[in-house]
Amino acid sequence: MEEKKLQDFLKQSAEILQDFFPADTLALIPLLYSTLIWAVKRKENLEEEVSGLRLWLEPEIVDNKPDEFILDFFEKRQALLEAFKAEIKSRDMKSLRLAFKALYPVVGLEEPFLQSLFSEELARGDFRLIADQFDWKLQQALDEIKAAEKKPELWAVLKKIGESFLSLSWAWLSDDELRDRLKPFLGIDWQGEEEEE
Amino acid sequence: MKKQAINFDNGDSSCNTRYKRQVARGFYWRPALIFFLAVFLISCASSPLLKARTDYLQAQELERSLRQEEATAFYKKSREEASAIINRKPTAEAYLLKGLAEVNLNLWAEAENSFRLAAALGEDKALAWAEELRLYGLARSFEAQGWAETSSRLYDILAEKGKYQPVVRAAVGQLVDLKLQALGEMEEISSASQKEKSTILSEALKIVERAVESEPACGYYHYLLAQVLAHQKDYRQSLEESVMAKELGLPSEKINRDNDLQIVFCFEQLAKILSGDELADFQIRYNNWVKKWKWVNTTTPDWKRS
Repeated sequence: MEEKKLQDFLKQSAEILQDFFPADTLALIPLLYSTLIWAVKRKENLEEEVSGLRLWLEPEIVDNKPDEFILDFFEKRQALLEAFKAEIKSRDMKSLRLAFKALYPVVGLEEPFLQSLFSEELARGDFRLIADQFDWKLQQALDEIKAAEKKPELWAVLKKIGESFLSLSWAWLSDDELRDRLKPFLGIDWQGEEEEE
Repeated sequence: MKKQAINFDNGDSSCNTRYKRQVARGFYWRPALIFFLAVFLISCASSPLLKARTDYLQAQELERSLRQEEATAFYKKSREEASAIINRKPTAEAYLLKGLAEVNLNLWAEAENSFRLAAALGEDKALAWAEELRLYGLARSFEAQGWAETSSRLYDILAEKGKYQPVVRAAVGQLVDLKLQALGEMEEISSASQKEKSTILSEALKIVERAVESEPACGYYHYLLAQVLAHQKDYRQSLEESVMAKELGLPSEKINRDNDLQIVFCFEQLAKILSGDELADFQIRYNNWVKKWKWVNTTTPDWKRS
């Protein structure tokens, strides 16, 4: 019963948001997913969280990490260790550094928008594909959001979705529980996430 | 008034009559004054510019309390309010406010434009800010085109001579990241390249140390320092700087998470290096911080999946 309600809610929300995006959109589900994650994470300040989404996408951290940090990132995550076994073994820092730039925000910083954007690749454990497609796929999603923002109601609609979500008594869910419940409905099912650390 | 009341008590009848007359006059004009004052204050409080300014100040307050996402929302709100004022009647103050909000939203090009318009309408300081933003925007576009040397030169100028704090901070961050990028691009491990690496790191360190000296309470500068020190494999110092950065506050959740992972990394590296009493002491101190931050355990920050 509860699952059905959740499914209906997500379906309805996606339909509302669909009006803002092109038919083959990449950005819609990640945007919806991150809105709901932030909604539950900080229940009292939904508007602020939703508005703050965009800042996550700005390149504001120090991207260039020491080799030791990069190796540590790959070595302590079993799924990454296996995917990049050859490069780690041969200390091919050039390749690892390139892959790190894409994988660190998704797997390390756990940014909900990016985790959702690459959900299919994550579900398959295809980390190499994330590294290869990171730039263009992110850019395409950002361009779509930028275009959607021309309709000023976008953020208001997202805020409303988040509020409705909380009012449907799912606010008690923890961040992790919410992720687990939402993923099947939003087509996000990444087993690799469980293998971290 | 108090003095007159004392005279009245002393039984001075002329003062008594004068006082009564004044009280009677006050009876009529005082409520009127209060009414007009209230109307004025209400109109001020509800004036769109004051509202925009209040939201901007609220955003700054939230930023200081490490509530970046909420601060962002208030910057957005303030920007929208300032835009609405400009649509009705453009003023220098509204453009200045809009520009300030845009800087905080990383909308550099838009901010430059707003400051230019503010300057054109008579806001003198806005012109200098617009110039610095223009230089920063130029440096960013050179960097995007792969002209690292030219962009570094511009960032360097801004880091050293810039007056507008948000631009100076952003320039220092970009400059340090560019220096560190050069390290990653060096593949050979010859002694010549090692020497070059240590020269680059000393330069990066000097830039950040200069910034920390100018603004010791800026968490972002301590974060940058921690990043450079990790490149020098000085994990103890890097950890201390990361902790300081966390305690002083960082400009975004993203940087905060990156800083947390830096803390974990340094902790793990030090745990490998240290032994005996030194390790035990270190772990006690580290655990105190972990407890304070309410982390799940020594390697799992509160935001991370356990």
